[in-house]
Amino acid sequence: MSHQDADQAVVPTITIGEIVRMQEAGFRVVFVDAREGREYQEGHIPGARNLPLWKLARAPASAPIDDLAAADLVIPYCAKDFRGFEVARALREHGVPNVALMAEHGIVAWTRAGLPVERAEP
Amino acid sequence: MTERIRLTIWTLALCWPPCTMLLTTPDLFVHLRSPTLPGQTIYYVSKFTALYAAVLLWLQAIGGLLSRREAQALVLPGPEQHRWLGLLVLGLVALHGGTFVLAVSIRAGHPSLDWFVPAFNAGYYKSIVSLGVIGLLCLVAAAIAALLRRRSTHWRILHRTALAGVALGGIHSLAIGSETRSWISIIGYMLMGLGLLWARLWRLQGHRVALRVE
Repeated sequence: MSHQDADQAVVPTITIGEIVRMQEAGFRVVFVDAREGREYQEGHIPGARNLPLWKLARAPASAPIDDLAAADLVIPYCAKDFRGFEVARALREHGVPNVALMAEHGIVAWTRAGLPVERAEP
Repeated sequence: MTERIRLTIWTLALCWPPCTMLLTTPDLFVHLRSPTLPGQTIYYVSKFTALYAAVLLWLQAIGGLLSRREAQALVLPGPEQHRWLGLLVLGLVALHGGTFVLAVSIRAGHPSLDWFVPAFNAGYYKSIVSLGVIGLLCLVAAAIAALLRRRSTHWRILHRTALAGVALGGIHSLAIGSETRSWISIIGYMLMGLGLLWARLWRLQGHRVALRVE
């Protein structure tokens, strides 16, 4: 494995507190929910888009990720960030910069921090 | 000829899990050799054992649905292999569940044994995991029945819980998502489903022919 591959494989983490501060400061933070549609409908981080790994793999060059490259911060997540990590890796491979994971891992940590979630109609 | 068919079925079945892993996680080896999140590698082990458990459980189910002669010709050379394969499947399913809980525990920083307790009121993901847990319990019941076969004449009834285990395992693996939505997984699961249907219909047809002869 080359040094470049190793760097590419690393996904940085950022604390939930820092993410919230960035949002409040007006930075464009985009959340990507890596879970299945049913889980997303049950509750997701407000404004998050639902993009499981299999959708990303089927349409890597499709529109849903084009605008992510312009975001200041892209945060993929799932329940505990096992799937979130895979989506983060895939997004970086597709050329999306500024991808990071929540240091506390997933929507479980987000709700534990007392932050809001929203539900989607099926 | 039958040996060649058996070899082909086994080769395809054993190649399916690594192919699925490699196609759905293209940079798997980079993942494994670079810094990652706590528990992520064990999570991959869990997924890999799940795929092998699924395909070997399918072979075991095909062997169970067919008559002994047909099963010997197409899937397993004899009842001894059926027993060993059953134990292997049970071990793999337990390993899949164990490594999943270990990965979640490492990530959470505390034991997460609650994943072993089925619950259907805690959201979609937990419900689908619960189906897998109940499927494992069905397989344990089937294994216990097989152990008791010399002591009880009714052991076959309990042994049939294995079919419930196959059904619940199938629903669990399809509904849990992620790599099971990839084209290679979908093709694999469709072929497995068709195989089970064929085995059941073939067995029923065999019964009908036998009744006509009588």
